[in-house]
Amino acid sequence: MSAPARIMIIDDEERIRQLLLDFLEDYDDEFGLRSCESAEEALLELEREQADLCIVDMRLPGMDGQAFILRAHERGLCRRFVLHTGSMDFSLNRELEAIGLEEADIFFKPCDMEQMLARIRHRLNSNGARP
Amino acid sequence: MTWADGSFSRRLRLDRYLAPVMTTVALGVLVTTLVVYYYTRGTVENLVNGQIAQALNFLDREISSQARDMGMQVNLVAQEDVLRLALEDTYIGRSARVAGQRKMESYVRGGAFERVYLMDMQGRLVLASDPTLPGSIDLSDRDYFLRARDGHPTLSTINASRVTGRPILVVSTPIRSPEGTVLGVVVGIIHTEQFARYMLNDSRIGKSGGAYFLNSDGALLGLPPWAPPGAFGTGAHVPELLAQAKSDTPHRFQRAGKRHICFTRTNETTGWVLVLEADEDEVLAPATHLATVSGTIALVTLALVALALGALRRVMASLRSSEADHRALVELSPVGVVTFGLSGRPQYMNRQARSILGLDHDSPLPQFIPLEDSEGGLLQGDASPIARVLAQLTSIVGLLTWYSHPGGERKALYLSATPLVVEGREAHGVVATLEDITERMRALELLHQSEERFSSLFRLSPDSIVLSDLETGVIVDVNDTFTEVHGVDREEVLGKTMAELGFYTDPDQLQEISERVKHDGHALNVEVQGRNSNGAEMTLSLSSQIMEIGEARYRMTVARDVTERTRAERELHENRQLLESILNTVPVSIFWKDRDCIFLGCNEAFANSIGFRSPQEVIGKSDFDLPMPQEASAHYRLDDQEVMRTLKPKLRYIEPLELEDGRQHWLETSKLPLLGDSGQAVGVLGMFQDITERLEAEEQLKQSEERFSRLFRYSPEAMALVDMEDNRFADVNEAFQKLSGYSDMELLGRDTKEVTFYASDAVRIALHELLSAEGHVENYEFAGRRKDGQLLQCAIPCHIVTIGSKRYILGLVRDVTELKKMQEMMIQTEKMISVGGIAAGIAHEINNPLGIVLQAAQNLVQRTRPDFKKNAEVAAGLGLDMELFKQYMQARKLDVFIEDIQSAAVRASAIIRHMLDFSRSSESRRKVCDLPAIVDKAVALAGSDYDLKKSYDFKRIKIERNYGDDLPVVNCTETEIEQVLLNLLRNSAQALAATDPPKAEPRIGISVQNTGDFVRIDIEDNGPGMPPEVQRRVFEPFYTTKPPGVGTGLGLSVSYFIITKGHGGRMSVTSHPGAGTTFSIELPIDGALGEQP
Repeated sequence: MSAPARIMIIDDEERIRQLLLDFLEDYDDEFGLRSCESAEEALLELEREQADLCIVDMRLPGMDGQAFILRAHERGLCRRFVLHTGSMDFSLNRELEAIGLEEADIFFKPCDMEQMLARIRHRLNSNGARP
Repeated sequence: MTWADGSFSRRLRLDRYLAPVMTTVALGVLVTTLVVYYYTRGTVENLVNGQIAQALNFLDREISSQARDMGMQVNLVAQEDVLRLALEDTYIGRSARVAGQRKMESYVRGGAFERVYLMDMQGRLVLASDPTLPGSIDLSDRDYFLRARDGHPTLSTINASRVTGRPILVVSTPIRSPEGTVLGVVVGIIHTEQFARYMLNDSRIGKSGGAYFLNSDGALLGLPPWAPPGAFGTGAHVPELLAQAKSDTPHRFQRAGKRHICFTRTNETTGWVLVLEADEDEVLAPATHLATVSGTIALVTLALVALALGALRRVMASLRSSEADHRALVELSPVGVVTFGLSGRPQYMNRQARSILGLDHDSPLPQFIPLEDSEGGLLQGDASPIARVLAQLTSIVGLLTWYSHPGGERKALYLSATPLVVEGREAHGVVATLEDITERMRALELLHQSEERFSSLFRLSPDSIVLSDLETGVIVDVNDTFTEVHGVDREEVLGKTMAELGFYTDPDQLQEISERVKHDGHALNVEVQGRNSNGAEMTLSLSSQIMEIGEARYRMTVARDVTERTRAERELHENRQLLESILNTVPVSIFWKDRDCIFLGCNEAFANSIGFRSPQEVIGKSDFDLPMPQEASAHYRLDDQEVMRTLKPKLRYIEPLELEDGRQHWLETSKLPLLGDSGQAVGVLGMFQDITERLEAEEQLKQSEERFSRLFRYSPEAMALVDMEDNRFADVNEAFQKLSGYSDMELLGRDTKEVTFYASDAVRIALHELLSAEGHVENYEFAGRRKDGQLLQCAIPCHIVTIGSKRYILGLVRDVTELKKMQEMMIQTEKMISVGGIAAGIAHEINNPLGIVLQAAQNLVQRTRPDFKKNAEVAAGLGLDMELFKQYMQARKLDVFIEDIQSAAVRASAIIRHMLDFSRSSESRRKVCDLPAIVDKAVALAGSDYDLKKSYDFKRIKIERNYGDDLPVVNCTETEIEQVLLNLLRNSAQALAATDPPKAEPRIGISVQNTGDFVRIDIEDNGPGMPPEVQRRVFEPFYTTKPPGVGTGLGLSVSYFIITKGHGGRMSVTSHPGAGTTFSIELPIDGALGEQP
């Protein structure tokens, strides 16, 4: 992929957002990074410019992560998602599976960012058929 | 032959005489007729034969004589010289011929011949009586010529003359010269017809019979002149006739339906067959006539005889019938009839006589009937009544004799006898009648005796007897007792009525009795009140009855003084009533039986108890008549019999009473023998009480006791009964013995204090106080001590109970040690669950800050890496030597601190995660799992586990897998099982790592097996093992043997939780110090849902 992938990070915890950005910045040739602290803000932003992948915290003020994902996907604002969640009992449901999310896309906080990085790369690089 | 077909039999009997007679007569007639017929016929035939023979003889002789005559004539002719001369063929000859002719003619005229020929040696007819002939016929071949020429005179018959064509008799003789040489032949010819004519004329047999001649070849030679044509000599019979002519038998044949008979004779001279033919029937007619006549006469005779017999038969029939009637009369007379012959011997006995004398009806008559006189003397010889009758020719009437019947009795016979006399002649026998008057005599005797008896009875009866006139009631006779009782004389009462006498208090009653007797014929046992001689009242029982003595009708009244009796009866009745009421009041069933075990009586209780309404229904029955099974009846009878036999009572024994309607009762029975005067048992007395209810109650009580006893003894709860008064163990059950370790021997009777069951005595005192205050204690917990010293945690609810008159403490002792442990465990579990719940709440809150920490730390690491492009760029821009920077970091241990931060954060996270396991609902992620695959995955994970790497190289451990063949799939949450297995593998690996000295060949064996209801996973290591105290606590939360910081202490508890609560399985550990450890997990196969947390 020549153009850097556009990544959107959505998390209401500022520090987490920032740390993720800091981490991924080091790979700026690969990714273009944006961040929002709420789902609504993110949607607006994505309307302005789409993203290739979103890293979504599931527990958000207002609209929650799942709704955001579905909305974004529905509107074609973003196709690929990685879930970053602090609730240990989160599990995939059918709706999320329907849009192509897998178990491997779920990362529980605290997670190893290296692993998340690997997953992101995997998602962005494989152009396999995705609904 | 019965009487009904007697008439028929009579006739048969007469016919029986008639038939043979008739048959004989008929036979006789037949024989006579036949004899006469055949004889006559024979005679006539002979006569006829004679006649015929005579005729034939005559004819025969005539023919012969005639033939001879002819011969002579021819000879004479042959002697005529003139003829001789005629033969010469000379002049003399010629003139001789003329003379000869004349001569011949004269001979013919004389009748001897019809033709005469003179033939020369050549056979030429020189001369003939018929002058036309010579030269017209040739006779030279004729045999008679030839033979005569040879010098033999012949006589022959020729059937067809050459001249007339008719049969002729030819006599030829040679003419000889004086020298004797044959010069010629003279032939005389006569037609046979002519010859035979007059001979046959006179031969007549009968009307149509006659004679005729036949030549030997059958040609008819002569017929009688009167014969119709064709009557004789022709027909088919002729050849046969000829054939038979040889014999002397007459030949018979039929012609035109008539039978002809032919007699034949062959005439020697001519060879002719003389036949005398006659109509056979004509010939035999006389015989037939004669036979017919005699036959007719015979038949007529027969008919007359038959008629005579018929007439006779009727007479005989009536005679016989009369005789039969008489015979029957006699035979069936009710009086015995015997006829005797002159010798005094019985000739006939009728049925009754036989019966009287004891003879069978088909046995032969005896020679003599032995009659006896009254003394037993035998009447025989002249004394015999039969002899007397015969001798005196008078009758005996009504002689009483005796006879010893073969049956044994001595019979009295009434004999009458009369001589049998035919008018004017001497007696030819005696007829006697016998009557068996034995019965009659006996009857008379009996009557006489009876009269005597009655008379005595009457006189001597202890009861008053009055004989009074039926109509008037006037007393005719009274007996002695009457006079005594009433104190009167006989003469005083005779002629008066009872009413007049006034002996009875109620005259109407008397009248009534009298009426009743007149009406019914008797009145029996009527009680009346009367007065005796002393004026005292008495009760009498009157029985009165009609009595007929001769013509007169009387009433006989017997009066019995029943005063005493009535009184006794009344007493008896009262006694009986009393007895009965006693019997029927006692609550006991009573019965009594006779020797044969027949019920003589019983009380109402008994009757009711066996299903009858009253004792009356029982009397007379036997046990087998009662509505109960036969075996039961037999059993009762046996008892009765035993009692009667041994004369010993059977008292108060228990027996069942089973009635047919199914009710079963239990009885307490006693049976006693009833003794008679001789001391023998005359019956049996029985009584019983129905103790069914009592027994039932007893039974129930017993059962209740048993139940309680059992309950007590075998209750799984330890129970002890302590006597409150002396504090001693009264009873302990099995469970208590087990609990306390003491046997009941060691406890019973001992003081509770002494037994030191209570760990401290203070406890016991406190318990007792509580108990006394409240009466019961619900759950007093205390420490108890077993016999072996082991302390138990006990809880004891107890009550004060009163059994009988004593008070006891009944205590249930429960070992709650386990319970307590369980409770603790549950509390722990609760703790864990609540921890889980808290954890779930705080997890999310902590994860964020932890995330921050980790991420920041990670960034630190990343941004201090000298090889990172971005870092290098920025450093270069700042003029920082990244390598140097790294060295500084290392020198100042900054890298270590970062490391610490990371590991601490991870650890904190791990703890949170594990804590959350307790609250997680794993139901949603449950699915069917393949356990071996999970095991393999766990092993793989263990090999690459982050933590594990640090402490031990998992790859160095030898993993042995043993998976069973028939492993079913199991319902489980894969990740959780993985987690558990990983936890166990980790523990094993760590244990192996901690072995000191290190194990040379560390090994973990994993086995997955199907145990039927479960799949069992065993993870076994050959590590140091664990001591029992560790084993016991190994599943406790936060219990760990690892140094602090290593592990959470939650691993095994969580695993336990997952397996048991989450999956409904089992988890356990076995270990021996120095011998390794095995953790076992059992997961249910049928996927039974685990308990909800």
